[in-house]
Amino acid sequence: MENNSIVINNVELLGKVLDGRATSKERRVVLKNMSDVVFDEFFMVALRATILFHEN
Amino acid sequence: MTDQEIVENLIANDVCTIRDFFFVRCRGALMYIGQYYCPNLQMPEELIGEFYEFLSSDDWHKLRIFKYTCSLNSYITIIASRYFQHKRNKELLSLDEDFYFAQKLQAERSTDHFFMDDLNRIVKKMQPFDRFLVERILIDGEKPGDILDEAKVFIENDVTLDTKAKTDAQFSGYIYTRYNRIRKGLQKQMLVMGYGK
Repeated sequence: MENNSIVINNVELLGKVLDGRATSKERRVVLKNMSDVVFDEFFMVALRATILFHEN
Repeated sequence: MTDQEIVENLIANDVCTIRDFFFVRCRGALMYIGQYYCPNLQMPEELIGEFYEFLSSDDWHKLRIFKYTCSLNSYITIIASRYFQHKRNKELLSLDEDFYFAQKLQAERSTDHFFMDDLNRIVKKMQPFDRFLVERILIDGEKPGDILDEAKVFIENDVTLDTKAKTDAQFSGYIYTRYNRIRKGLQKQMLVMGYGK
Protein backbone atom coordinates (compact mmCIF):
# COMPACT_ATOMS: atom_id res chain seq x y z
CA MET A 1 0.00 0.00 0.00
CA GLU A 2 1.37 3.40 -0.96
CA ASN A 3 1.96 5.96 1.74
CA ASN A 4 0.61 9.55 1.73
CA SER A 5 3.54 11.29 0.09
CA ILE A 6 3.72 8.75 -2.73
CA VAL A 7 0.01 9.08 -3.47
CA ILE A 8 0.09 12.90 -3.30
CA ASN A 9 2.99 12.97 -5.74
CA ASN A 10 1.54 10.36 -8.05
CA VAL A 11 -0.17 12.83 -10.35
CA GLU A 12 -1.25 10.30 -12.96
CA LEU A 13 -2.82 7.97 -10.39
CA LEU A 14 -4.87 10.87 -9.05
CA GLY A 15 -5.70 11.87 -12.62
CA LYS A 16 -7.02 8.37 -13.29
CA VAL A 17 -9.31 8.67 -10.27
CA LEU A 18 -10.62 12.00 -11.58
CA ASP A 19 -11.22 10.36 -14.96
CA GLY A 20 -13.14 7.52 -13.32
CA ARG A 21 -10.67 5.03 -14.81
CA ALA A 22 -8.90 3.90 -11.62
CA THR A 23 -9.18 0.36 -10.31
CA SER A 24 -10.99 -0.25 -7.03
CA LYS A 25 -7.63 -0.80 -5.31
CA GLU A 26 -6.32 2.53 -6.61
CA ARG A 27 -9.50 4.32 -5.49
CA ARG A 28 -9.20 2.79 -2.03
CA VAL A 29 -5.61 4.05 -1.71
CA VAL A 30 -6.74 7.57 -2.61
CA LEU A 31 -9.77 7.44 -0.31
CA LYS A 32 -7.57 6.34 2.57
CA ASN A 33 -5.51 9.49 2.08
CA MET A 34 -8.52 11.77 2.34
CA SER A 35 -7.97 11.91 6.12
CA ASP A 36 -4.95 14.13 5.35
CA VAL A 37 -6.44 17.66 5.29
CA VAL A 38 -3.89 19.03 2.82
CA PHE A 39 -4.51 16.16 0.43
CA ASP A 40 -8.27 16.29 0.94
CA GLU A 41 -8.38 19.99 0.06
CA PHE A 42 -6.27 19.90 -3.07
CA PHE A 43 -7.93 16.74 -4.39
CA MET A 44 -11.48 18.02 -3.81
CA VAL A 45 -10.63 21.34 -5.50
CA ALA A 46 -9.22 19.40 -8.45
CA LEU A 47 -12.34 17.22 -8.55
CA ARG A 48 -14.62 20.26 -8.72
CA ALA A 49 -12.40 21.96 -11.31
CA THR A 50 -12.57 19.04 -13.77
CA ILE A 51 -16.24 19.85 -14.37
CA LEU A 52 -15.25 23.29 -15.65
CA PHE A 53 -13.29 21.90 -18.60
CA HIS A 54 -16.57 20.98 -20.20
CA GLU A 55 -18.34 24.30 -19.66
CA ASN A 56 -16.60 26.32 -22.38
CA MET B 1 -6.45 17.19 -31.46
CA THR B 2 -5.45 14.30 -29.17
CA ASP B 3 -3.80 14.84 -25.79
CA GLN B 4 -0.50 13.67 -27.24
CA GLU B 5 -0.70 16.17 -30.12
CA ILE B 6 -1.50 19.00 -27.71
CA VAL B 7 1.45 18.11 -25.50
CA GLU B 8 3.78 17.92 -28.50
CA ASN B 9 2.61 21.34 -29.71
CA LEU B 10 2.99 22.85 -26.26
CA ILE B 11 6.52 21.51 -25.92
CA ALA B 12 7.24 22.96 -29.38
CA ASN B 13 6.01 26.33 -28.01
CA ASP B 14 3.30 26.61 -30.64
CA VAL B 15 1.69 29.98 -29.89
CA CYS B 16 -1.84 29.05 -31.02
CA THR B 17 -1.86 25.84 -28.99
CA ILE B 18 -0.54 27.64 -25.91
CA ARG B 19 -3.24 30.31 -26.19
CA ASP B 20 -6.07 27.85 -26.87
CA PHE B 21 -4.94 25.40 -24.22
CA PHE B 22 -4.38 27.78 -21.31
CA PHE B 23 -6.83 30.56 -22.09
CA VAL B 24 -9.71 28.62 -23.68
CA ARG B 25 -9.67 24.94 -22.84
CA CYS B 26 -8.28 25.20 -19.29
CA ARG B 27 -9.55 28.71 -18.54
CA GLY B 28 -12.57 27.75 -16.39
CA ALA B 29 -10.73 25.12 -14.39
CA LEU B 30 -7.59 27.20 -13.83
CA MET B 31 -9.61 30.28 -12.85
CA TYR B 32 -11.59 28.25 -10.35
CA ILE B 33 -8.48 26.67 -8.81
CA GLY B 34 -6.47 29.90 -8.74
CA GLN B 35 -9.25 31.95 -7.24
CA TYR B 36 -10.15 29.25 -4.72
CA TYR B 37 -6.64 29.37 -3.22
CA CYS B 38 -5.72 32.98 -3.92
CA PRO B 39 -8.95 35.03 -3.88
CA ASN B 40 -8.54 38.75 -4.55
CA LEU B 41 -4.77 38.46 -4.91
CA GLN B 42 -4.46 38.47 -8.69
CA MET B 43 -6.60 38.82 -11.81
CA PRO B 44 -7.69 35.49 -13.38
CA GLU B 45 -5.48 36.09 -16.42
CA GLU B 46 -2.47 36.68 -14.16
CA LEU B 47 -3.13 33.41 -12.34
CA ILE B 48 -3.39 31.52 -15.63
CA GLY B 49 -0.23 33.24 -16.90
CA GLU B 50 1.60 32.33 -13.74
CA PHE B 51 0.56 28.69 -14.09
CA TYR B 52 1.73 28.72 -17.72
CA GLU B 53 5.14 29.99 -16.54
CA PHE B 54 5.26 27.21 -13.96
CA LEU B 55 4.25 24.42 -16.34
CA SER B 56 6.60 25.56 -19.11
CA SER B 57 9.57 25.89 -16.77
CA ASP B 58 12.52 23.57 -17.21
CA ASP B 59 11.59 23.11 -20.89
CA TRP B 60 8.11 21.73 -20.08
CA HIS B 61 9.52 19.04 -17.82
CA LYS B 62 6.13 18.24 -16.28
CA LEU B 63 4.64 17.54 -19.69
CA ARG B 64 7.70 15.62 -20.89
CA ILE B 65 7.27 13.10 -18.03
CA PHE B 66 3.53 12.66 -18.71
CA LYS B 67 2.87 9.00 -19.58
CA TYR B 68 -0.77 9.42 -20.73
CA THR B 69 -2.20 6.97 -18.21
CA CYS B 70 -4.85 9.61 -17.44
CA SER B 71 -6.39 12.42 -19.49
CA LEU B 72 -4.45 15.63 -20.02
CA ASN B 73 -7.30 17.58 -18.40
CA SER B 74 -7.01 15.61 -15.16
CA TYR B 75 -3.22 15.71 -15.20
CA ILE B 76 -3.25 19.50 -15.52
CA THR B 77 -5.97 19.86 -12.90
CA ILE B 78 -4.03 17.90 -10.29
CA ILE B 79 -0.82 19.85 -10.96
CA ALA B 80 -2.64 23.20 -10.86
CA SER B 81 -4.47 22.41 -7.61
CA ARG B 82 -1.20 21.37 -5.95
CA TYR B 83 0.65 24.39 -7.32
CA PHE B 84 -1.86 27.01 -6.13
CA GLN B 85 -2.35 25.28 -2.77
CA HIS B 86 1.41 25.41 -2.25
CA LYS B 87 1.49 29.06 -3.33
CA ARG B 88 -1.24 29.97 -0.80
CA ASN B 89 0.37 28.01 2.01
CA LYS B 90 3.73 29.67 1.41
CA GLU B 91 2.07 33.07 1.80
CA LEU B 92 0.21 32.04 4.95
CA LEU B 93 1.54 31.82 8.44
CA SER B 94 4.58 29.63 8.79
CA LEU B 95 4.44 28.22 12.30
CA ASP B 96 8.19 27.66 12.42
CA GLU B 97 8.84 31.17 11.23
CA ASP B 98 6.35 32.52 13.79
CA PHE B 99 7.97 30.53 16.58
CA TYR B 100 11.37 31.86 15.51
CA PHE B 101 10.06 35.43 15.54
CA ALA B 102 8.47 34.91 18.98
CA GLN B 103 11.79 33.57 20.29
CA LYS B 104 13.56 36.63 18.94
CA LEU B 105 11.01 38.84 20.67
CA GLN B 106 11.63 37.04 23.95
CA ALA B 107 15.40 37.44 23.54
CA GLU B 108 15.05 41.13 22.74
CA ARG B 109 12.77 41.57 25.74
CA SER B 110 15.32 40.20 28.15
CA THR B 111 18.21 42.26 26.79
CA ASP B 112 16.55 45.59 26.15
CA HIS B 113 14.12 47.08 28.64
CA PHE B 114 12.94 49.62 26.05
CA PHE B 115 11.85 46.83 23.73
CA MET B 116 8.40 46.25 25.24
CA ASP B 117 7.72 49.99 25.28
CA ASP B 118 8.46 50.20 21.56
CA LEU B 119 6.43 47.07 20.83
CA ASN B 120 3.46 48.35 22.84
CA ARG B 121 3.65 51.71 21.10
CA ILE B 122 3.26 50.03 17.68
CA VAL B 123 0.54 47.69 18.92
CA LYS B 124 -1.46 50.57 20.41
CA LYS B 125 -1.65 52.25 16.99
CA MET B 126 -3.22 49.16 15.43
CA GLN B 127 -6.90 48.69 14.70
CA PRO B 128 -8.65 47.05 17.71
CA PHE B 129 -9.07 43.68 16.01
CA ASP B 130 -5.46 43.60 14.79
CA ARG B 131 -4.33 44.51 18.30
CA PHE B 132 -6.45 41.69 19.70
CA LEU B 133 -4.80 39.17 17.31
CA VAL B 134 -1.28 40.32 18.17
CA GLU B 135 -1.92 40.30 21.91
CA ARG B 136 -3.57 36.87 21.99
CA ILE B 137 -1.35 35.07 19.46
CA LEU B 138 2.05 36.73 19.56
CA ILE B 139 2.24 38.03 23.13
CA ASP B 140 0.03 35.49 24.99
CA GLY B 141 1.31 32.65 22.81
CA GLU B 142 -2.10 31.20 21.83
CA LYS B 143 -2.47 29.28 18.58
CA PRO B 144 -4.62 31.05 15.94
CA GLY B 145 -6.93 28.02 15.84
CA ASP B 146 -7.59 28.29 19.60
CA ILE B 147 -8.90 31.86 19.56
CA LEU B 148 -11.53 31.47 16.85
CA ASP B 149 -14.50 31.74 19.25
CA GLU B 150 -13.07 34.90 20.84
CA ALA B 151 -12.38 36.35 17.41
CA LYS B 152 -15.96 35.62 16.29
CA VAL B 153 -17.36 37.48 19.31
CA PHE B 154 -15.00 40.37 18.61
CA ILE B 155 -16.15 40.61 14.99
CA GLU B 156 -19.85 40.35 15.92
CA ASN B 157 -19.44 43.36 18.21
CA ASP B 158 -17.59 45.50 15.68
CA VAL B 159 -19.74 46.75 12.81
CA THR B 160 -16.69 47.86 10.82
CA LEU B 161 -15.51 44.25 10.47
CA ASP B 162 -17.02 41.92 7.89
CA THR B 163 -15.18 38.74 6.96
CA LYS B 164 -17.73 37.38 4.45
CA ALA B 165 -16.63 33.99 5.84
CA LYS B 166 -19.57 31.61 5.95
CA THR B 167 -17.96 28.43 7.27
CA ASP B 168 -15.54 27.75 10.13
CA ALA B 169 -12.83 26.79 7.61
CA GLN B 170 -13.24 30.11 5.77
CA PHE B 171 -13.18 31.99 9.08
CA SER B 172 -9.99 30.18 10.15
CA GLY B 173 -8.44 31.09 6.81
CA TYR B 174 -9.41 34.72 7.36
CA ILE B 175 -7.83 34.77 10.85
CA TYR B 176 -4.61 33.10 9.65
CA THR B 177 -4.29 35.44 6.67
CA ARG B 178 -5.04 38.57 8.66
CA TYR B 179 -2.71 37.65 11.52
CA ASN B 180 0.03 36.73 9.08
CA ARG B 181 -0.26 40.14 7.40
CA ILE B 182 -0.22 41.99 10.74
CA ARG B 183 2.75 39.98 11.98
CA LYS B 184 4.77 40.73 8.88
CA GLY B 185 3.95 44.44 9.23
CA LEU B 186 4.93 44.41 12.89
CA GLN B 187 8.13 42.55 12.09
CA LYS B 188 9.05 45.17 9.46
CA GLN B 189 8.39 48.04 11.86
CA MET B 190 10.54 46.44 14.57
CA LEU B 191 13.35 45.95 12.04
CA VAL B 192 13.09 49.60 11.00
CA MET B 193 13.48 50.53 14.66
CA GLY B 194 16.69 48.52 14.80
CA TYR B 195 15.51 45.31 16.50
CA GLY B 196 16.39 41.84 15.28
CA LYS B 197 19.34 42.94 13.14
